[in-house]
Amino acid sequence: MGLLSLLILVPVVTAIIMLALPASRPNSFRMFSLVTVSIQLMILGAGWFRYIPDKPGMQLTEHYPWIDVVLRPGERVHADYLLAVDGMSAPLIALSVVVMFIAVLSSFKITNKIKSYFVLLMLLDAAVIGAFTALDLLLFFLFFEFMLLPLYFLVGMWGGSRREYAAVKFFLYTFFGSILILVGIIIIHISFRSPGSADLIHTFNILELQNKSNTIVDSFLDGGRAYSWGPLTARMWVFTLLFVGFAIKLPSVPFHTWLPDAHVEAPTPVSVVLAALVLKVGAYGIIRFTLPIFPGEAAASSTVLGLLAVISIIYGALNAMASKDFKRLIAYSSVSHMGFVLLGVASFNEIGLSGAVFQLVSHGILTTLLFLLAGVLYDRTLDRTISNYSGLSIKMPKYGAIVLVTCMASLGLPAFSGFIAEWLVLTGAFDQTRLPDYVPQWMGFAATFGLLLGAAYFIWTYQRMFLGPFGTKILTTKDQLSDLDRREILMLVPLVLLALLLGIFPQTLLQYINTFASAWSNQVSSYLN
Amino acid sequence: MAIRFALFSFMLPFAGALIVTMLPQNSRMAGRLATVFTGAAMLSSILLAFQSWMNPTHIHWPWFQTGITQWSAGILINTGSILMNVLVMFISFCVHLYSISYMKNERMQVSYYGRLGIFTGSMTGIVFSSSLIQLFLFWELVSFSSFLLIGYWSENPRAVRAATSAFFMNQIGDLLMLSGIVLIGIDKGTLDLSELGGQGTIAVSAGLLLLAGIMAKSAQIPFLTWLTNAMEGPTPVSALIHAATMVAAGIYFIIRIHLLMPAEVLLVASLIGCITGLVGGLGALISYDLKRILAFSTISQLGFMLIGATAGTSGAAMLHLYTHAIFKALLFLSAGVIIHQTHEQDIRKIGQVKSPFLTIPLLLGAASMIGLPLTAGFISKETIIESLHNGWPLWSAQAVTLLTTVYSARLIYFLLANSSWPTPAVKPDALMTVPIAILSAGCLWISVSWSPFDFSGALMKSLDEIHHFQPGMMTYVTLGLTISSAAAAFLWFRRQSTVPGFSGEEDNFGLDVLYRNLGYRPLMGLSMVAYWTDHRLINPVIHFIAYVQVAWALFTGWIDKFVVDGIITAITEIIIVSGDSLRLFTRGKIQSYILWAFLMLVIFIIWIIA
Repeated sequence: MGLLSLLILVPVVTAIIMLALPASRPNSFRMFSLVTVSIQLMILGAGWFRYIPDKPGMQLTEHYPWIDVVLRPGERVHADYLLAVDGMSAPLIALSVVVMFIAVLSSFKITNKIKSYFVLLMLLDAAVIGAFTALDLLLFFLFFEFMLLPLYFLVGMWGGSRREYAAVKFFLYTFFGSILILVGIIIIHISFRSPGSADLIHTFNILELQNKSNTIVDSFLDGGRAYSWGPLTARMWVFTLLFVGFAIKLPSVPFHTWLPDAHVEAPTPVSVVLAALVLKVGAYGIIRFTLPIFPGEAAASSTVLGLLAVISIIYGALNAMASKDFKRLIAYSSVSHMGFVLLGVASFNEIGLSGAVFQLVSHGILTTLLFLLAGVLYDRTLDRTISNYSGLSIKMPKYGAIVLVTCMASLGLPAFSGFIAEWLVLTGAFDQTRLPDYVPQWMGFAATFGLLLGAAYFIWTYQRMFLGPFGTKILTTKDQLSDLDRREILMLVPLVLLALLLGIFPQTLLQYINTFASAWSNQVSSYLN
Repeated sequence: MAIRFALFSFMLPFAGALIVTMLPQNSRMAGRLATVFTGAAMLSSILLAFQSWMNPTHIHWPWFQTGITQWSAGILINTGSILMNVLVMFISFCVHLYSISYMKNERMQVSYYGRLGIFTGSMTGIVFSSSLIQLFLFWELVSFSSFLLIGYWSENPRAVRAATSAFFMNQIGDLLMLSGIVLIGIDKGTLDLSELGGQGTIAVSAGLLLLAGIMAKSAQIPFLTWLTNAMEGPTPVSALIHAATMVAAGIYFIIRIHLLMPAEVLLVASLIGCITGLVGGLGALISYDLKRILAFSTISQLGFMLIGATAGTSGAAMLHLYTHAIFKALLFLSAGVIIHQTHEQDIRKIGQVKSPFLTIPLLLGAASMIGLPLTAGFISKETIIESLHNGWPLWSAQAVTLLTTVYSARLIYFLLANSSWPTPAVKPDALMTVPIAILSAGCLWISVSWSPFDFSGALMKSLDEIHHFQPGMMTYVTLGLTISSAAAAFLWFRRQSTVPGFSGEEDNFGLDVLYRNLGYRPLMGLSMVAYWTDHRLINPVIHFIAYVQVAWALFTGWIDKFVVDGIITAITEIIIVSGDSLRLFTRGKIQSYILWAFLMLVIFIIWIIA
């Protein structure tokens, strides 16, 4: 069994074992989960040694036939169990394992229905990593859907006061997206074939799907045939289906309103997983599946994508500014920051794409920090209203310092990972050396303006909550506002250091991304020409 | 070897900050430890000067790579950066020394010196950076540490507001500058300063964007409000950051890249320098607050340097940057002593300062600022004037000089000569005296030139190897103007019973209100619009869709119950009814069997007959 299967299987096995354990001993679930994520960390370490950053293409491949149905003589439906990683998924898997470790640590604060909680969390862990490793479209979709269910229950059962509303909204939104994706996948599946066989084998393998010579002649997606349904060609329709489906997860304005509700209502560790990992699956879906299959359509609509990105950046930032709840502010800042991912993708060049992937990792780290920090306050006072606090850093100096550093990192202070990502994305967006212009120059400036808004809401929030004379508008007992304890420092400081490491030595991450980005850009440009 | 000294002076302040933060928060050791580290950094900066003076070195390493483009980082040592480094370290060392006494009663010792250390290290980073992106990194770190230091007294809401607005103003400039740097990177494929040097000037748009960053950092019009508000910070911080170094970083940067700047941008820059010089001078002339006078004067002097750097020669601007840093730090530190002991910043209420430990430094600093002969300021100011050719930059520079003379005379007259009442024994203690004395010595001509009347006597010769500056016609014109206006000012002040000035400048000529109305309010309005859109526009649509779904589900439920189920029920009803009726035949009653048998028989007979 390969490392990747192991990575997915370990939490599943833990979930099954935990199901058999008696619910009366809560600590056993905590320990089991902690051991599981530690094992995953070790597997990650082993994978790190095996993985060669400069080697283009997929590595650590595991490939077995999975489903093979004969439709009629000479025509088969085929799906593979195909797992592999490349320069984009490797960093995302590393991020998932690390964030899951932190999420388990932070879940120690959960006290009710512990057994079901950890079982669901472990299933979520497996599904997220599965989604990042699967290269078979059907297998990917399976994992993609499988994230939904644990999340629905984790938000709906352990969430805040409006948890049911949030959970249902989240479920309906993302399920709607899944349906769009499913329709798209089916049309893609019937239009593509595996090469090198006399039989007509319909394929789900993304490596085969991204080669346009595998399109079945006269199928819906045959570019030469140009089927059109209504105003758009069939190819454009399917591209739109997939894009919108993933854009809901990303989320891009105007498909984003599930996010603030779900993030605010979810318990801290679940918010962390949602923001740091689940959103990334949306972006991953766009970069891995949507663009390589439909590069021409993506290029043709990249101005629209850029526009969506810029709207997300500015609109998300404005909404963050208007938020009264600290956690809601963070949730909206995610909308804004994920806009940068979309902008990098839309700019359609190597550097922009590198920036998008870098931003995925960087935002994963920083948003984890932000949600953990919001959780620290909520754990102590059960209140996150910004205007209820002032001068907190007097009572909680360590907490204040880490919040300041994190806010600065999130608003793009150089020396932290966010700056490198922004720099790359902006360079991609401003780069007009390629014709036609995919992203007009004003979008680059608009994104820069979004960064200014980011600075504004982060610094104002910090000013309102942490500076000035100490005071709270809620009743607090004497040591309710205690400073960070050891467990919290253990969660927070490594993440800060990680953000700092990626900001000062970006090549540690870029060496992986570059290989992927240059392969991607070669492939796309060969497709477009 | 040279590189090693540069690295030392860059790393030592950071290392100091790191070690200091490990001490307990109120540790008395913090100041001494930080001073030792800064002293060591200063030493290595001086050693670097001895090693590499007139011997430029440039090394760079690949930092990160995207596609085929390598973005490098490195160290670029030339006369300008060596001088700037020595200056930063020297002033920082003086301020550290001074702070040990000035800040000794503060609760958060460790925070203070940690923040100073981060600032000093970041400033050195700007000084030596060899690529624009690396420079930008430190540029922003300087903004950040300035935010920390202005807001040091975090319980004072005014200080906090000043810190935030300073950071935000700087962020506006920084982000414009960032987009400029990005554009240059795309255009030229490199951001290394020496590689850019071989490629001609940059595009005008990129140049203007860079200029915006420079203007924000150097508090030029229209960004100047953050600097006067920043006076809410501790006075040693004002001396280091908001007079001598951080605000000068913008000027330093434009000096470093002025060869890359297209002529149009330089023209715009000198125009901005002129306006800022005059506005700042006017502000200093009418303020009552001791620190705000000095802040406005800094703004004015920065404008003056900007004129010099863009319309004159960059070497002259660098020279004035150097002398200004020394005399302005001196003035701030002396003002700090007064404020520290009287707890008063209003020059109408301070009274007469009598201690020679203060009067001599104040006089020397002011003389250097005015540019009286035998001072360093005289040489640098006259060099700028000499380097300006005829035209509006020259006359604006003269006007700035005139304003400088009058506001300096006002400051000195009402602090030292206005004998209405003496201040109670204001006098620096030993630790404060040392830096003040060193800086006072630095105000003499000897710190820049061997001969007080040869402008290119020592330092300037290295900064500008082509031109040789001598006192010329313009020098005498300026000198005459200065002395006569100073004399006139003194005569006029003697006849005043109160300090002339206006108290309306507290909101920076109404700019604060303007920015509130033009920036903050519209932003808040926009954010409300966004909030409204989410809650009143998008969410209702989603809810509507959800309700339609639910309604549809109810409808299909109804169909299921009454139509589909109804049909099924009807069928079963029919079957039940027919079953029931059929069951009648088989109930086991012998009479009914006979009845049926009889009926059958009748039917059979009828059938036979028919």
